Amino acid sequence: MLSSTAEKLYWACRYIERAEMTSRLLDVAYRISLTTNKDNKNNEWESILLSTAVKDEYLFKNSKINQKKVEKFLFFDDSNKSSIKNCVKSTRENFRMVRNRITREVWDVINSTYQELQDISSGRYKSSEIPNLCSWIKQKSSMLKGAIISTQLSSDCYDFMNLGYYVERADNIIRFIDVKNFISPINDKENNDNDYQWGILLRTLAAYTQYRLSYGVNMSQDKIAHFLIFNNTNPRSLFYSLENIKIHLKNLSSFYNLQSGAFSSSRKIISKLSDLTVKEIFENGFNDFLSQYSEDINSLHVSIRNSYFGGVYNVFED
Amino acid sequence: MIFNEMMKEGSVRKPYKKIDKWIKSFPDNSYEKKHQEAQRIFKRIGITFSVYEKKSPEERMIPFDMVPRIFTAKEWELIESGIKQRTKALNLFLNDIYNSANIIKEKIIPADLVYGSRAFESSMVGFIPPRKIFSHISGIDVVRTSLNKFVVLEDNCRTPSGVSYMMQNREIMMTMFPDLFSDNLIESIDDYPVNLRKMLSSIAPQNCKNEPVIVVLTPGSYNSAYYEHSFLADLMGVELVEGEDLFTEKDKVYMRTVTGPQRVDVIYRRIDDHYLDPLCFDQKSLIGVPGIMNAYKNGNVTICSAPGCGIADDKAIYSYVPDIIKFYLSEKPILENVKTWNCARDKDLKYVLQHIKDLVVKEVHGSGGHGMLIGPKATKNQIKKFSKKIRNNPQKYIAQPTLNLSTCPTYTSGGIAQRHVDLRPFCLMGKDLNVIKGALTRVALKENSLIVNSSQGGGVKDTWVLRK
Repeated sequence: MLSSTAEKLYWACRYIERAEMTSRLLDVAYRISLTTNKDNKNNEWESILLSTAVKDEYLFKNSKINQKKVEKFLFFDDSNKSSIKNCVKSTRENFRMVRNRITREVWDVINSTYQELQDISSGRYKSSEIPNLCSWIKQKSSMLKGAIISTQLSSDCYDFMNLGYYVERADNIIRFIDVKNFISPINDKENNDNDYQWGILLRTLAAYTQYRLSYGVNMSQDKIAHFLIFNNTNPRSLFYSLENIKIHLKNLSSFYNLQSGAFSSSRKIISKLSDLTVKEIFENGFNDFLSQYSEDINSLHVSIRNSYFGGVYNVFED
Repeated sequence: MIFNEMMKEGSVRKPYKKIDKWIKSFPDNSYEKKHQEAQRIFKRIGITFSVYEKKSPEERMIPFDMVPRIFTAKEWELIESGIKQRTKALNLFLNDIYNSANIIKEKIIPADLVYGSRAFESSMVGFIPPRKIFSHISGIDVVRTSLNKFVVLEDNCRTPSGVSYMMQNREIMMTMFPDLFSDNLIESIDDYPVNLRKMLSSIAPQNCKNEPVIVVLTPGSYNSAYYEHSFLADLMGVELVEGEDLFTEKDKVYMRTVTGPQRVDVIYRRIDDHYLDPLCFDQKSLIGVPGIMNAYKNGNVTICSAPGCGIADDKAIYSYVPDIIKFYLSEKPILENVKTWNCARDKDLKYVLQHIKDLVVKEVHGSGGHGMLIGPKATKNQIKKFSKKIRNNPQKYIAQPTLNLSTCPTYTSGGIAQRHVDLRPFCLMGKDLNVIKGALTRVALKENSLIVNSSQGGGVKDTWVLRK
């Protein structure tokens, strides 16, 4: 497979995962804005700008942070590379360039989503439609994932797509926890907002009910941290994402019969995480943990790129 | 007299009988519904081309017309033999002018017309490509002017596009109206990708011992024909690459893959000569592959079509094609040429300026229906302006009489009406020479319009060749 093909499959899935995550954030922020009173000092709109790492870009274009403008910026803005509209466009564009590697079903989902989104964004929309638009994106993203799982061959293409999904997800999880930590520091036991903030985070990660199923109705920092970082049954936990990155890198190594640097880095990161406990994270400080793993995920991305996207193995057959 | 392909003296011609019945079988308004459905399918599959009129490229669809265009087996035999003859002759011409240049020595074609052309590629002089073929894929545009008269409008010897539309038009017709195909009277066009691949394999370099590795080289996803590039790569089961995916090492071409470099033997390139190799042609080209020409000339890779083959479809050479056929094949041309005045000749220039109202004037290097003047449709002011352009730069222009392109029944908002059409059959030349039994029919959707180009609002039709 061409190196550039692998790279496009990888990024196509990173972008759609990013679009889904952004729509989850928007949905939750909208919900909070309905339930809190006016003098509430929690600025959910600022927090989602932080989560999606676009606050500076937003403020470059807008002087104030308000609901309508943030919604527009995150959903439709052409200048925001990570807006949902641009993510869908990038996913389609990347898939379009590797059309012969994806099935008709996969293409149909992303192409029709793109076409419909073009129509939606050219018209006017009301703030109250945001939840519907967000669930529409989530549905489309699920359909795409479903089409990939049920129609693509489980070969190298499938592995590169999944690497894109899980690297993006791992990256997002760390970022979401980081923002929560920024708004109300995790070790601050006095802060009454803590439970509330954790609740939002769980909702964002579609894990509210899942959490209760596994840990009961009581929320505690330790349990939530465990659920989001270590729980190997939670598809949106850090551990689960990293484990899947490792599995797909392993598949690639055996598929090509070539050990890759990326596979060994993924193994190292996972064994490091397995040695850790929630208690240790709290003792050593959440900040350290977050910045450490944010770096690790980035270096994992770099080693995937070096292993597969450069096309420069120094092996010549003649 | 305009030839109506369906009607003859008030009654329906035999090959169109079935389609006539089919058109009449549509209840009121249902044709509109089906028409919309067809456009939706095109959109869903993502068959688009890009238009660069505005700042950012825009994806558009070519309007698809559901009424097929039909040829009898006998009619097709004539077209097919004419296309083959022309393709053979043009390849002999190319091999000759880049090597011994007999046709110039014999004074059949003026030397400056060949050597002075932008399309002549001096770096190819003295080079003989595998099987002596330069132009492996041709799309020669033909128009019909009467029952038995087919005239060549222009030759396309470089990388003619449109074959993906030919295939998708058929696919959509078979999906939407399977009944039309149930009696199996229409020649299949499914073989095209297989034939294309066979042709490309057959022109692999001599030193290629294994099954040749073929790639399709595209300028990228923003190119107007990108859909076609990916479609062909897909159906042939080969990689679609961009310049960055390829590199050369010791005059051999490799592609970058996830498991390291892989040797490439045949490149079906869909980028212009000019951009192919920054070391040999345009230094600023970002879409080419540095060193690819050296690899080619050392016999380590085959480029299809050969650089420099554009001279054969140059509009100034066009008027000599009948002489070219006679010179190399000692045959009479099967398909006629349109009478052409070459403004580079003083006598012709004088005639063109005097009769410009009745002529179509084209730029020698123009394409896509741009930069041309249709005399009978132009205003006085347009004619005045264009005449000045011709006088300033006569060698840039040729002129032809306006042709009576035949018409076919076509769907319009006011019902079925007659619209002008042209025809692009596709010919492959490798170890074998073959013409696919089907073609791209382009249709001018505006009433009386003669411009069928997709960039100017033309549409496409499925094209049938009936079995004997």
